[in-house]
Amino acid sequence: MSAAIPSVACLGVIGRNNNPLHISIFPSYDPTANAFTPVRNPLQFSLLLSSTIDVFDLRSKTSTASGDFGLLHAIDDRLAAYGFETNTGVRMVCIVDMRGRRVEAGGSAGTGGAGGGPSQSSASASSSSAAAAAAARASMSNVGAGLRDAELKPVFRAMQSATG
Amino acid sequence: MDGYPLGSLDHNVPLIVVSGLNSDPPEQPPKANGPGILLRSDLPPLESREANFLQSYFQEVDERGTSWTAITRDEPFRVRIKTVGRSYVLPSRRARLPETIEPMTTAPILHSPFSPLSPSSALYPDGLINAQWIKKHQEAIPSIFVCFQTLISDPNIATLGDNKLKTDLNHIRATLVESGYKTRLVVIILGDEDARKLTADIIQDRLENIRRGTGLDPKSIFYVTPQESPSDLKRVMDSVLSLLYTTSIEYYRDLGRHARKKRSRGIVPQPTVPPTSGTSQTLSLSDWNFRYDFKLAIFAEFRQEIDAAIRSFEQAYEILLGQDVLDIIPSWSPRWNEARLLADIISIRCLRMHLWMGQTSMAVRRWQAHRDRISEFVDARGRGTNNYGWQAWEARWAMVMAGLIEKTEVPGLGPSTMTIFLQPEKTLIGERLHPWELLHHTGYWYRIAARHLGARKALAHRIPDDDRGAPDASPASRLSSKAYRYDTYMCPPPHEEYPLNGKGVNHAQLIIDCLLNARGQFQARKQHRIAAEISLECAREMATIGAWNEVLGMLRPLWEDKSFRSEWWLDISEEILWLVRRAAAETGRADVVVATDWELMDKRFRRRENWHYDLSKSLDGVTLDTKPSISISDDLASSFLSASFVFRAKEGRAGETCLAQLSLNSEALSVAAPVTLSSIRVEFEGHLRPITLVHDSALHIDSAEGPISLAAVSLTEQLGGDEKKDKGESENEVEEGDQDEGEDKKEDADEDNKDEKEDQLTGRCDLTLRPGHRQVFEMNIPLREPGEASASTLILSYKADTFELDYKFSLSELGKVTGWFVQGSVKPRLSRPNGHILHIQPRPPKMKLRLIEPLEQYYANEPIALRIGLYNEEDDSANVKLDVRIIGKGIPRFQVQAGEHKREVDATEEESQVTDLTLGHIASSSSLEASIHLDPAPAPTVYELQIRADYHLESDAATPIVQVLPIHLNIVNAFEANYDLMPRLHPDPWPSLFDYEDLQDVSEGDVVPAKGLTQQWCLVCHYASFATEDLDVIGLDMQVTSVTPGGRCRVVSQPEFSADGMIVAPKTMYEARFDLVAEKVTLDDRHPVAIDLALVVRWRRRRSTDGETGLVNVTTMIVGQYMVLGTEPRVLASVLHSSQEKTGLVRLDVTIENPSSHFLTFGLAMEPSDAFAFSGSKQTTMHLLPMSRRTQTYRLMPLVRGVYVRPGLVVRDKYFQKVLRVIPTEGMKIDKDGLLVWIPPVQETEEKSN
Repeated sequence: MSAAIPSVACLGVIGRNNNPLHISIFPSYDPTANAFTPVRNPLQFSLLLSSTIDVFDLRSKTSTASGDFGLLHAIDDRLAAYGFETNTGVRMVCIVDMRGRRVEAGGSAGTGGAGGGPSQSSASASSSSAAAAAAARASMSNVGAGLRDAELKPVFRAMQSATG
Repeated sequence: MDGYPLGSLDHNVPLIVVSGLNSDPPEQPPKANGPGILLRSDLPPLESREANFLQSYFQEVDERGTSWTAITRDEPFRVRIKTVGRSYVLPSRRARLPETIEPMTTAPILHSPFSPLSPSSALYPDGLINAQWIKKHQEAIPSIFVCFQTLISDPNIATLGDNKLKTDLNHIRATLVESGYKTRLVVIILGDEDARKLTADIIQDRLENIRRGTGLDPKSIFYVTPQESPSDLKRVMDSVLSLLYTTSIEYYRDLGRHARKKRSRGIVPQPTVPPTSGTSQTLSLSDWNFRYDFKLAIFAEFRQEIDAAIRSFEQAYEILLGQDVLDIIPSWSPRWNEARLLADIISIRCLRMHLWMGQTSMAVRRWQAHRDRISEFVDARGRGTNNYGWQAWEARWAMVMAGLIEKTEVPGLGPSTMTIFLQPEKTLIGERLHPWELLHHTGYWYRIAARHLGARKALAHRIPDDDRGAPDASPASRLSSKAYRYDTYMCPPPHEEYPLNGKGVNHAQLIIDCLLNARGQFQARKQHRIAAEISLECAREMATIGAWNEVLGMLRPLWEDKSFRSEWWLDISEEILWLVRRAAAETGRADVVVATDWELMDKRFRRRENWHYDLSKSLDGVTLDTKPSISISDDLASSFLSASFVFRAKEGRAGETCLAQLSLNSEALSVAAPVTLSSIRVEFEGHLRPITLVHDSALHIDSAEGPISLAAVSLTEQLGGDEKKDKGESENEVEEGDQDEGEDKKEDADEDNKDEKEDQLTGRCDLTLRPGHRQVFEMNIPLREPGEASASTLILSYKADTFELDYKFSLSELGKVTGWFVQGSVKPRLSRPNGHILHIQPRPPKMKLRLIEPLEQYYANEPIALRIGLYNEEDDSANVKLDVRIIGKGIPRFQVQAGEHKREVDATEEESQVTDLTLGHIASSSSLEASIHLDPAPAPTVYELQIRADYHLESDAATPIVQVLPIHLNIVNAFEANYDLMPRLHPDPWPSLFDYEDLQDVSEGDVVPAKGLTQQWCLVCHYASFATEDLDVIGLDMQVTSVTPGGRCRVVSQPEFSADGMIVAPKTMYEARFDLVAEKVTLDDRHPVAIDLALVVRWRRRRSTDGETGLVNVTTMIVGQYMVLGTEPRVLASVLHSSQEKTGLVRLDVTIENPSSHFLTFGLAMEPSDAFAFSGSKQTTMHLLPMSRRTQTYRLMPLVRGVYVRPGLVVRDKYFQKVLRVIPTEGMKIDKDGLLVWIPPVQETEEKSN
């Protein structure tokens, strides 16, 4: 028996003029092929990231207290986008694949943190995989049972330190 | 939710049948289920106004009853109401035996026609349950049968009527009881107008009578008194319905109880007839339990007991998906799909109830759980999830959720709330939720459905051809294999899904419908980017079915509002652009094709392999009727070319030229073909004519290497006058052109002419732009009109064989920093903002104003004449007016003269002017002279003259042009002088007090001869010319301007000048001596006399050039006031040189004057000296009477020659013991030590003569 746990599928940094600054894509575990492949193609990820701008805009009218927007929206039952806005207006988006990793019933993360993804820039890639690992660790405590907004905090922290 | 059997998903609410409001005949139930039970009343139906109103009101209530929204506590009832005529047919309670069955020995046990036990039922022998059963309760068997009746008010037949009513109701009641249904009977008696006459007691009695006669309980008989208004009636009826509602709930509770009782029996009932066909399998106990649980749940739902309903449903669901029911149904059996359908129905009903209770996250969870459970099941027992059927169901399942959210109107999730997803309900708040478990709005659900539909389509397209044929065309073996391989649950079999021939399921349309639904939801919540993304997906789907017009319609808004492009989502924009291009190519939209090609040449986009990237080939393969002229602008399509326009300077002058640079940078992909523009047009805002650069390949710039090349373009001005010629040319073109295209061309030519009507500048150069190359055109623009000019638009024209393109750039972006390119440098220099704006100063007037033959210096006391020359250097004759304005102190009278026009102004204090002196026309390149004559200025001063020519050209009378000539006149004194008044010895003897005759008053005419003392003075004037040139001094006069009364003064000698005067060179001192004699009229006058003197210089300018002598000017200089004829004694020394004597003997006279009235004694002492010998008293005393003078003479024999000697002469006032100063006269001088006498040298002539 194995259970799916969340993993980071894509990290995006969006500039204050709504322009993409950086996109990292990470593969997810595909049980049918028993391999790691990204769940969407880069174009689709671009579209997913751009669609979060709407949510940012919608949400920023009501709450601007802190930069953490938490869950922006779930794209479907598998992918969900979380957002963070820095005080300079740069937005960070983390698209989480809720079934990106598989954990054996024993609990050892056989595949956790593997992959690392096709690194586009070493700094952000390392930070992103660290973020992914953080997310994976966070979700270990309660296998396969969702994700709290707060659990994305280390991801955004890692992104901020990598970009800042 | 289409596809689920009718009624299976309805929101179950109590059914009430209302009879007697109309006269409709009863509906007949389907024959198959037996004849049914007829409830019939012979009484006539009510056909009053109230009855009609009630009927429509009940319809309203019925409609409300079909709603899927949650029932709140405030809602008193929600029922379905069926209004029928006087009779109603209930379905028969027992199924009939099929006629084919042989008669049995024992009486058969008959069951409900909907039961799987009855052979006539579709479920026979092993079906579980179907929608028919739910439908029976929802639509056929009412919980309450309501009879509307009326009371007969006529007292004669009242009893008869009441009895009739009683029998009627008894009949119905009996029928109902006989039928076995537990339907309640309710009578509502509507009082009519006549009933108002009846008293309440009578009505009460009659109602009681009827009730007792029919055995109805008191709650089942209502009397409605006639109401005033429909709303009152409605209110009354609402309260009746609320009461009935509780009765109904009771009815369904009974049914539920019955079902539970049957379940708890734990017996498997036997079918009426044992099955003989098929597997001859019958339902097991679990199956029956499922059936009862399902029924219990449905009855609970009728009662709106949601908790109970969910509990029963979940129990039924567990049984169904447990190991005893679905697990043992073979997947090829139709019962398998029926069971799946039941699972779906249960799930949907559960979801709906979760939504009603506001358990949104629970609903999502339930939704996911069902999907996961079924997928596991299908994988394990069915045909797997890797086929189109499964994807079809997944899509359906997502759509079900979307439909549920819409139909139950989940609060807080409507489009107006702008909510994207709902927060979880309170019970789940602490839990770790999946993000998807927060209920998102329906857009997301539709999108998921579309995604699954896409997968379905992909899988359908993978069906092998063998399976796609019609079933009758393929062998039986294949048929069976198909049945095993394809999941046809709620979707068509493969030969219908994707047939070999003919149309199958229109997947694309399904997807598009779904996406459009989703898009509407996203748009309503202002999620425009997702909406755009969905549009893109939609367009892709449309492209697959070749609906190119729709593709274009879908994407064009995205392309036009520059979604993604403006925010640099390049991969997305690229995708859109290629799709737009393809659609445009397919639909023959040449403009869009070219515009997208233009954009896609930009190197920021990824290069597509095997693409030509050549603009001239853009329309290859596009079918077009005519050669299109395409016009696009930078706000529609971005460009691979970037352009900037900059003026060299910020300011320029009309009539002059200004350098400007147009820089075009091609950022095309490196593989792209060079683009050769046919022309470039720069348009300006403000007063600058457009510039057109035309391609000329002959002027090729050899700059293959550098990333930048600079070309100087010479511009030629094309004035409006050239229009005619151009028109002629274009007309020729028309004639040469084909007849068919003649008309089009004519229009083009007309347009061209319009353009050419305005003046423009044209230049020729090579307009080929290679990728990655910057081409800079430098041109010198002639400026014509003043004002501000800014480059506004740039139009690039491109002409290919197949099309013509104009690309319009906006250059007027404020604050844009542009630089100036120089040869050999890639980066621009001197970057400045707003380089495209030029301020053109007004055109300088070409009328030249000049002072003709100006004099170097003007002097006071001379008349000043200024000659002003006006030279018209304009191209046209001008009409001129002259203004002269003088500012200064003490402006003299002056006169302005030009031809016959003359104007004179009197002297004023500070400012004086002549305005609008008409000078008339001055022809081009001719001149006119005006002169200004100023009267002599009395003193040196400064005048500012402003001469202003206002004129306008004959050709352009509207534009006033002004030329101004300022003249600064500094008037100085021509001469300056200083003066020295020196005493002289008057030779005449003083009058003697004792001379009687002299004292006698002898009057000769008016002049009274002076009788007083007389003194002679000499005024020495040292004057110099302060002029800058030689002047002629004609004469010098000394004027005695005033003398104290009692005194007289006259000039006795003055310098003489020749008629031509004397040339006075500047800055040279000249001396002039004037001898003055001052005298007093009487001797008695003791007061000193003050005299005021003035020096008058008469002079003129030298006119060496023309020889004519100028006017003589008179400059009077005030000498000042002198006091003469004082009363103090004075000592005057005078010398007399003896010219005859070679010895050079000198006589020195010392004259002491005593003008006082005292007797004075002076001591004279003469010191001996080495320089001379002298004769005379060495020491003597002189006594002077009042008013007398005495002279002591010394004779000096100088021992030296040619020097001054110093006679040591001391004159002392004996009384005051005061040394008097000896005043020298001619030939002497004095210094601080005393008198000096000049001893002239020995005269040479004399020596020679000797």
